Amino acid sequence: MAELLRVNNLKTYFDRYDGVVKAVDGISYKLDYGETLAIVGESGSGKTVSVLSLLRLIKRNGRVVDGEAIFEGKDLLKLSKEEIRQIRGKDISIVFQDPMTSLNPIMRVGMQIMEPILWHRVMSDKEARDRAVELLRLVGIPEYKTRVWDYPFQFSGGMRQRVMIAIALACNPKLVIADEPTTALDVTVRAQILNLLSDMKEEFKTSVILITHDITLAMNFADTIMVMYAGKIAEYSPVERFIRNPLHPYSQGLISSTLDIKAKEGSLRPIPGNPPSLVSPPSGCRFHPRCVYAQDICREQEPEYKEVEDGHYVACHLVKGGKFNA
Amino acid sequence: MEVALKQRRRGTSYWAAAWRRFKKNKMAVAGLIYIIIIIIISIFTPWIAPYPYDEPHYAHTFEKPSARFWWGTDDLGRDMFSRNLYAMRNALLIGFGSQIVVLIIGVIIGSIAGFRGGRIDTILMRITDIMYAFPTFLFNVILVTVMGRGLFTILVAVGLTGWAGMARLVRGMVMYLKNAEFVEAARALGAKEGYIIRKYILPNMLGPIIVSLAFGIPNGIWIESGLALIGMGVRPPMPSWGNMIGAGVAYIMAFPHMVIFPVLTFALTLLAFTYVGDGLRDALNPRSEV
Amino acid sequence: MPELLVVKNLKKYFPVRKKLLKAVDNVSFSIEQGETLGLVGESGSGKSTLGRCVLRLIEPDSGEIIFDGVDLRKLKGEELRQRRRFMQIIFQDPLASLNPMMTIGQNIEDPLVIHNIGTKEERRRAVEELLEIVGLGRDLIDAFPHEFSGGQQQRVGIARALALNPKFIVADEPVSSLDVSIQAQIVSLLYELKIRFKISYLFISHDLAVVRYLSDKVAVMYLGAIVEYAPKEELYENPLHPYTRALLASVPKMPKDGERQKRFLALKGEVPSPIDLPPGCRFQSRCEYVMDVCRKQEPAFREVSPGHFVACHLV
Repeated sequence: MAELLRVNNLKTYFDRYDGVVKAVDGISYKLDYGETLAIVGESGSGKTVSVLSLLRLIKRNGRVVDGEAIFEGKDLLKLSKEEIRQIRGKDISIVFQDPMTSLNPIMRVGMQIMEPILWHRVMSDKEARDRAVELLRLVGIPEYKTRVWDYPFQFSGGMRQRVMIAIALACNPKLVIADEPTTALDVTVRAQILNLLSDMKEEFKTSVILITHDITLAMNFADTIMVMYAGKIAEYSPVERFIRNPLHPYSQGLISSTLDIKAKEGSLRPIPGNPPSLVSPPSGCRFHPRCVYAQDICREQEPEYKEVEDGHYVACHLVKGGKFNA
Repeated sequence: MEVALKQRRRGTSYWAAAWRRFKKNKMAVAGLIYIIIIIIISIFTPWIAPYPYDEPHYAHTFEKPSARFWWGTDDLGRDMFSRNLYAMRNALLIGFGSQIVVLIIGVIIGSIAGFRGGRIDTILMRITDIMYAFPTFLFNVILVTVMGRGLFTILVAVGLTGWAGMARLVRGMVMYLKNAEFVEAARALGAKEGYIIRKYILPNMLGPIIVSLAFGIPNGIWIESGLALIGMGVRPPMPSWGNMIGAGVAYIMAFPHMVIFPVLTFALTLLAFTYVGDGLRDALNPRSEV
Repeated sequence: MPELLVVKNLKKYFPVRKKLLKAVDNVSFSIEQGETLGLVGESGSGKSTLGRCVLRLIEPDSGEIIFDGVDLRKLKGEELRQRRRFMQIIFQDPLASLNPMMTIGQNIEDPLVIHNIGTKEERRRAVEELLEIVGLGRDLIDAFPHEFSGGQQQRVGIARALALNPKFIVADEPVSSLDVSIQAQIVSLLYELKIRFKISYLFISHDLAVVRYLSDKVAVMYLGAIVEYAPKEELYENPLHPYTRALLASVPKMPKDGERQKRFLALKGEVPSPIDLPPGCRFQSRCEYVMDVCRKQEPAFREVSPGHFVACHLV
């Protein structure tokens, strides 16, 4: 498959009262057309920043200090404000976590779906109207023909997330970024939205970057998984391979500390400790203070992020020849 | 962003952290230094002032600043510097004093409304709304007319007309805090109501109240000067920035020093309080630190 | 084992614009000493209200709460206050549940101060011991809650709840605001405490996996009522209520055996407003097996096999 996006050595730092937060510190990855990449990590791992940096949607105290992000031949990080605006919402769109606050409360949902279409002058006003109705049908809003002129408060949480997805799809984007799209929803509604995302992927053949803290979801849903820890990529792998053979101790820890519905009593083995400070991250491997296998080299030297098998990258001193040797 | 805790023996208390944030705000620190200085000066005014505020020197009327009269003299030959010191002292007295009145009334009404809720809340808040909507300055004029023009009565009048904002603030915080999760936790632990109020609710209200008071002081000074300007302030010969500026304006072209000095000190004082208020507002809100 | 807590016909209705929100609608259950009841439900199911009613942090409208043989609803002021030593609560948002103006040490010490237990020196030692029990260093005693991470804050909340040696703790979504690796730590800690101190939990959560890990019995709540109640294994292996089945099916499972799931069995619609429910079964609007009788008559909550209760016409 052809490459849609390639990120090289991206670094995004934030200035804060107590120093510089290295939220994303040198990450590289790629995404093909039609591929679903899941970025998994805990809060502060840099998973959201790593993606929002591409669209230059980071807060004012943050800045991209290094790297490139080649999207269809153009480096997103070097585009002018106007050029990046042309891409946002049209080629790359975002579904945010909280459908309650991400919609404009005083604008009819139909208008909100039409907005990106009209901004980017993809089609005429009349066509955009029809498109809005059609999108609402596609995302499964009952009585979509009348509901298209309702306001967000007239929709429930799950329905609003459907509207958010409709907005994201409005301009037939090449890439949809879904930032924890189901976290704020109830269990039963979560399943509905996941099914919808699956269907939309089939229907529109878009690439998806799914940002999530839920490794179970990522392993089920994505083609490729990228595990982030403290601003760096710990492991990047095709999901099939990852399921069989997760190599990084943090990936293994995440899996063993995730409670599965079938988990047996007393089987939980949590990762000890807390995520590190990103102002003064630990020496060597950033995971070493929490890693049960840590050795001297892990404390002293930062592990190289390298390909261990075809398409399977890991940053760990203990992985040799595609195997984890502790 | 998550801050991993650095292991340390002593934590930073709310107040220590607030002080650290306050120190970062240069203007606020400058304002605080200025305020401390003028408070000290005001305490010792009778000893510092070179002349009594009401002592006329008929041979030296309208004198420009000189070694004898640092800031010159006014139309009656009274020393402008001494008068300014007394005006400042009066302004501070009324600024701080009125806020004590505001604090007492606002906290009592606000906390009764917040704690009791229901009917009592509705009645108290309607009264507060009326106070809020009523033109403050006019109300002050009426009160001063009725109660007299002494320093103390003006202070009370300014306080009586200014408590509505404080009452609303306190009510809002009480309503929030009495249902806050950590208060519920204390209740679940079996704490008595008095203990909850003392250890849980009051300490958490202090920050916003202090900020509100800090902004209230310059407001009080402003109203006092306004009253004096229209001749409803402290009774002459007692000086006030308001009546000094009012008197000086008549001679502004010929003797600008009669206006410049009171206006400058007045403006500086108001600015200083406003900057300190700004600094406190940011410092006492832990979330302002990103 | 003796029953520690028996709740009978508990009701709590909130008036909402002249209508009634039946937050807790005739709920009964019991918990034995040392046993944990998992309470599962989505938002609006009334599970948190139920938890608070049991502790009388919210005053129920009617029903009985018999704790250790005493009906809590008959207790007044000081008697109830004394009883609170034996029943505690852990909250969802650990930062919001700690007094921001007190140090970690003072927060944990507070229950001892409130009940006038020990001298200052003894209390200090107790706090240090509690910090150790929940896995925090003694040197953190003078730090303030906002300096901690979410997981550490929750450990402090747990230490405070443990200070009075309670027999019973209501844990209201104690891990749902935490990161995955930290969730696992806290769940392990709660499990360890349950075994070590024989504590009974009323463990409230929307997360079926967490509930399964910690509970002995599980109750599934929907719109203010318990629709299914059974011993843990029975409920997870043999769910009878259509809602319970849907809940279980909608959770993605770890694809350890390489079998991935791209689609999930999803219940139609969303939880309806709990105000002014229609007559009949409260699940009728989302049930795929709905029949005429479900729209007319409320199903009885009955025992279908030993210890397994369901409220459904189809069972």
